[in-house]
Amino acid sequence: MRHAIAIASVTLFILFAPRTAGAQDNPVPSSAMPEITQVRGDLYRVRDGQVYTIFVVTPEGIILGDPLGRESALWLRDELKKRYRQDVRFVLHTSHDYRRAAGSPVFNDTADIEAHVSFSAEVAKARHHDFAHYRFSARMGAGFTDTRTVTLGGRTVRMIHVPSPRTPESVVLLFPGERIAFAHDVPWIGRPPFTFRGLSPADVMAWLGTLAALDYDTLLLGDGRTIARETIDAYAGYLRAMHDAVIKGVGDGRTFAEILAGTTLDQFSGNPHFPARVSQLSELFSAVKYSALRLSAGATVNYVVRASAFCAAWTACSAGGAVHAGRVAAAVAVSRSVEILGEMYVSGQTVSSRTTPDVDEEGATRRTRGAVLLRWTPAPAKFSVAVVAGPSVTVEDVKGFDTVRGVLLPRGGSHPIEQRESRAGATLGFDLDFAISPNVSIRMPVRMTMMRPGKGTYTDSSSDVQVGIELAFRLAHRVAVK
Amino acid sequence: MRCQPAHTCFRAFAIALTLALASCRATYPAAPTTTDVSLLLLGGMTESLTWQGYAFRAFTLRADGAYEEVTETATWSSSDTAVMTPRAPSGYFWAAAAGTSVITVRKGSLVASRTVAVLDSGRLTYPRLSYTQGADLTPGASSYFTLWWSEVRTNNGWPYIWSGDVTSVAAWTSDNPSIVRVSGSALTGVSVGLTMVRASYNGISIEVLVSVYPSR
Repeated sequence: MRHAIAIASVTLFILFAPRTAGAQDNPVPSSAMPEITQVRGDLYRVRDGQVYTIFVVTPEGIILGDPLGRESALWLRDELKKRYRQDVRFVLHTSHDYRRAAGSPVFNDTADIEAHVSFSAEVAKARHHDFAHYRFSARMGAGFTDTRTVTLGGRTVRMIHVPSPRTPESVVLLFPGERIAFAHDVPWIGRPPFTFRGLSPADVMAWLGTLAALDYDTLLLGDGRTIARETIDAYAGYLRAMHDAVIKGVGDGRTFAEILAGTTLDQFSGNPHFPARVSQLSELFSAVKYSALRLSAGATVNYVVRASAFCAAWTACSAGGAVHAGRVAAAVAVSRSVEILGEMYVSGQTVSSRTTPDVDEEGATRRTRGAVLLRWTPAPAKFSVAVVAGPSVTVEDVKGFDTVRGVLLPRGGSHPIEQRESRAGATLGFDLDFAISPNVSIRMPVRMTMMRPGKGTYTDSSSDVQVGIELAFRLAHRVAVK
Repeated sequence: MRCQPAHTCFRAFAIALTLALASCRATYPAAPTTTDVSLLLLGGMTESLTWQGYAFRAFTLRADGAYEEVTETATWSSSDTAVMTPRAPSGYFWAAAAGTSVITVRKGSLVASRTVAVLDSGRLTYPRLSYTQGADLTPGASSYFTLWWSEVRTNNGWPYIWSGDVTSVAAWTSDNPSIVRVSGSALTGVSVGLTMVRASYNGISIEVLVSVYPSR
């Protein structure tokens, strides 16, 4: 217990002491020769300058963490053999960095080399860019994806893959017997207050989530730092609370200002990261990935604008006008501001008639339209305005008859009119949205559609305007940080 | 992602379906009825001369404004078959003797008739005007009637009938310009029907019975 308190004290000092002369980045002064120190029981730590690794001695051999650079590995092989009269039987890579991994081939004769499945690819990439440093780095065969457990001489070491954008092969080693975890780096834990600094919040949360699931009380880092679990848990709890508040707020359709006002996090006021709460919330809010499925339906008034050509050369003519229509739309939100909207409406009939002294014509036109629109809400809020635009296809069904007077049958008399035509067009407009709950809003869609000129004789319109009122339901949604 | 809550899905679909169905109700304009409203008897001439055949044509006017020729299917009759004798084809009559006869055509319950005077072609008086007709007139189309002046002249003491074309010098007027319009000596059909066009020359006038037939 006293040992743990001592480690935690040192850790807190390291973490929160003023950063002077790089003291935090170099917690232990470098020396020419590597140095082995005991951590707990048979668990030892090796310092090689600013790089640390770890190993555990068992009756059947040694399980070594990162083998370090080639020179250090050669030294380590001999030193371990000399000290413990044991060979290294396992090498467990936590990173492909040459300072940590280049010595791996030194142990090929005696040890199984274990690493994450992406280790070899990362080595290959690094060798391509920096051959000098990576020329000795060995590529692995098949690695593991999530976890691997290594057992030797009654001792167990677990390798747990942790997500990290910079080092996809990143692994944490867990020594259950000693309740010690070892990670080559935790880049986001530095001097408070914390900032994501371009890191993916999702990766940070996943990293912390992975660590939280492990049974350990002290985390040793590859740069020599030692961090007590309580410190990480406090940090993770603070971030988790902030994360959850942002997720819920976005899910409820709140603006950043509303989320900020409702996320005081008073219980974390003593946390060293708390003073930067606003910027942290802002970073999390910016990293939110929102998706949703909405369905809306309602009634619309469709005003069909009469095409002037339809009435040319007729003595009397009427067409277009306002009719009712039913509208249904399904939208997939790809972010809080952008939705891909598929909408369809079925319009009531417009009746057109035109006359000359010899001919009467009367027809009813039904329009059915499908449109795929991009919907952009510049400022999502309880009351918001969204702009929509996109291509549409209108199917027009015309049915009626004409009557030709004064001539003989069959030209004379009444003839049925039947015309079906599909016309491409462009639809644009806007929606006025009033959210009455996170999942339901009242929406007023306004659309204007311009269609290509019709080829049919009875096409009476090339544009229309719709104004409607409808209910929009959010059927499902997902909010996550990226 | 899941429905939140499930009944909102049902509600949304129910509303959409109701509106869609409401908009799907269709009522299309109905065509007018095609019953026959009148029967027209066209053709023939003002003066029918014996020993000549005359063709009449019958048309029904339907409620929708269209004409249908029923010459073949209608029933034709003459009030005095000794004067106007029906011959084949339907609507064709032979002027057999001088006199008057009422030509009647029936189609269903519709009846049309016209009184025809037949002159004895061997007892004509001179000078006189007569006419010959070009193509049948239809609305919008023109046709030329040729007006003939006939008088008795002698050659070395022998009388003979001299006929000359006086179409362009005669005066033409239409009794009903809404059916036939006269321009100079050209007659233009305006609407379907039958009217009299009068031509006069040298103090004598003649009534020209002009039929304007429905066009195809």
